[in-house]
Amino acid sequence: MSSAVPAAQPARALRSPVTANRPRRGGRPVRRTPLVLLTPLLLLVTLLFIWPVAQMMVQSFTDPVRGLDNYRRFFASDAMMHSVVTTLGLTLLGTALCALIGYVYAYTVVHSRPSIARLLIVLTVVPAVMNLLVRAFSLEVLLQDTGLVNRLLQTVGLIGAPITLIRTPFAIVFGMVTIALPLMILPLYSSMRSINPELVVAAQSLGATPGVAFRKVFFPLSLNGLFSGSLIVFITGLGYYIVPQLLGNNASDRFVSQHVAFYIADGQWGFGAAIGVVLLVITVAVLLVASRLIRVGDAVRTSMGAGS
Amino acid sequence: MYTRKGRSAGALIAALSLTALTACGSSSSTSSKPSSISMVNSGGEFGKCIADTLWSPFTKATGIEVKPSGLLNDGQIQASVKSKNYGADVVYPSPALAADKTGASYLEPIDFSKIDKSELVPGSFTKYAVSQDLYSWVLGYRTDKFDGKTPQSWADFFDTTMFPGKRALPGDVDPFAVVLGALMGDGVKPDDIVPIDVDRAIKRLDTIKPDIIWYQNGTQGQQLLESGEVTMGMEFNNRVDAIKAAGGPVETQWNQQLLVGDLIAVPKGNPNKAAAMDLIASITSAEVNSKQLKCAALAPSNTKASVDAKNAKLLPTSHLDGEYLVETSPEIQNYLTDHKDEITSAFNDWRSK
Repeated sequence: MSSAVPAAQPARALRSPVTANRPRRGGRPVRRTPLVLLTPLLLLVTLLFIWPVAQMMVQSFTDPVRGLDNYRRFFASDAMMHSVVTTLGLTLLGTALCALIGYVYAYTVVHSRPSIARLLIVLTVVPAVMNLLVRAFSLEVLLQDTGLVNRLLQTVGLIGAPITLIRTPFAIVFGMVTIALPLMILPLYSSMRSINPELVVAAQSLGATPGVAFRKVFFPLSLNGLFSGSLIVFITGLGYYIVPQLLGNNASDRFVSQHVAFYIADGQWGFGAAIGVVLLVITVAVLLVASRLIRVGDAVRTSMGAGS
Repeated sequence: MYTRKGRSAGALIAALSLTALTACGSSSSTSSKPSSISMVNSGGEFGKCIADTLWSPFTKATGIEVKPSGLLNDGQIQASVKSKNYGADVVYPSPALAADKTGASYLEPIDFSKIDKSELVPGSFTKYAVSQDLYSWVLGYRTDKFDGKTPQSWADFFDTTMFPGKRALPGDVDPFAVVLGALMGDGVKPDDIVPIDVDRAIKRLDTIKPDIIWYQNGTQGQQLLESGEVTMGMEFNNRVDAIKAAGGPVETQWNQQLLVGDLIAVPKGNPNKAAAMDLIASITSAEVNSKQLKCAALAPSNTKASVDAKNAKLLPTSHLDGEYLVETSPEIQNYLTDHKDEITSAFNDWRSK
């Protein structure tokens, strides 16, 4: 057990406030600089994000006619209600699986020798930077009736006829887990790394079994990472388009964003916008609920600070 | 130091604005005859071939260059008209957009003084768009799965006892084709298809619901039939030919095919309207229109265009001896204008169950 690991957290916690407030030459406080530096970004965000989103919201009430027609149509549609339930349900399932697998993985990384840990982290990051479309396509090839998985199972003799993997809710969840897993692992790893391993040792020396020490000491301390990871996976999962489009059956398991894309391509901008607004409202609602559990700012910071 | 910098910056601005002014001047003086116009092009080998065969005669005759532009869906065409920021001068609208009511808001009326209507395939044009070519939705089937039996019509498509196996349908590519095919499969004659009875179509589709695989694009539809994952599919006619050409055991049932025109049109208010209409006239002329056969088995929309015997049997327009429907016909499209939402909603609601 290296002593460098437990030392890292207090050192970092100390360092940042000090640097931020320290006056620089000329006695000018550095505090104002971030604001100035942020201006181009804020302008960009306003121009490219806030403005279009506002326009979309307006359009959902005005196109083709002024009023609530688009929303009435949305809430009267079986397909839309079904889609909202599907999106929430499958994303929740995917997030839970990500949390389970990600937790075990991150735990292993933190408790491995540094060289192995580094390798395991690289193995997480490399697929994360690969093109999403490429990854979804490769999953499609893997899962289809004549794909690698079915061929392998048939060759081994486990199955006779190919089993249907693709175009099922299973395929969507599988795709989501493979693609979103890094988003879960990195914050978990980051929060687990900041847990002083001597706390667990101390608990055990006071008579706790390894199981109890994990449950009462390690796990509660890692919850921050678990919540952050889950929040990010869940929020991004709600907006999935490519994964259900390529791996789902495009009938009973359509995600909300697939309907948005369909109606916008069809020229029904107002209705497409209304669906988009509903998705946005759901996302914001999830964030608001989550903000009661954790500080959302922390969630972002933990996931960004991973490995630093 | 600072003053010098300021002055040179001022000079730069002056120079730039002068250039901008001249640029404006020159462009406005040539607006009657632009040096180039643009048309949507799918790119790749096929896109280049279309440019070489259908666009170059126009450029040769007028000196106006035709530049390829990216694909625009109906939503984007509508947005470009509203914002007066035209992505392309000639676009491919969906049949629904080219129908009378919506066409009036988003497309320029076709200048039929430049195009001889009588030469065009009947039903292949509207007031606002003409067909560059025609393709069709056909019943493509495997010849190795039914013990030598041949599906004769959409009714057989729905008969999974006699013709077992899964079915590929273009649910997102063309939901209306699916609805129309289902109605013919339920015994509706082409002449009685309007008014479209969507509930009847859904009832028919529901009988094979577990066997349907919905596909997203032509390539996917082709793969499903080629790999044998489905034994029948509603396919683009050229996709079945492509599998056949590669040696695949598939065949086309031309009976009850659904012909679709690849409509071309000019977005409303486009400043290059006159030149764009000339391009459309050139593309659909008897001399030029069949040249696209070099690129793919696309049926010319101009009946006077010459087609050699080898290509003729591949073209939907050579198989009009059985029943057929023109999906892009004004009769169907004008009906769809008023009932599109109701049909898509019913279809999507059923599909999501």
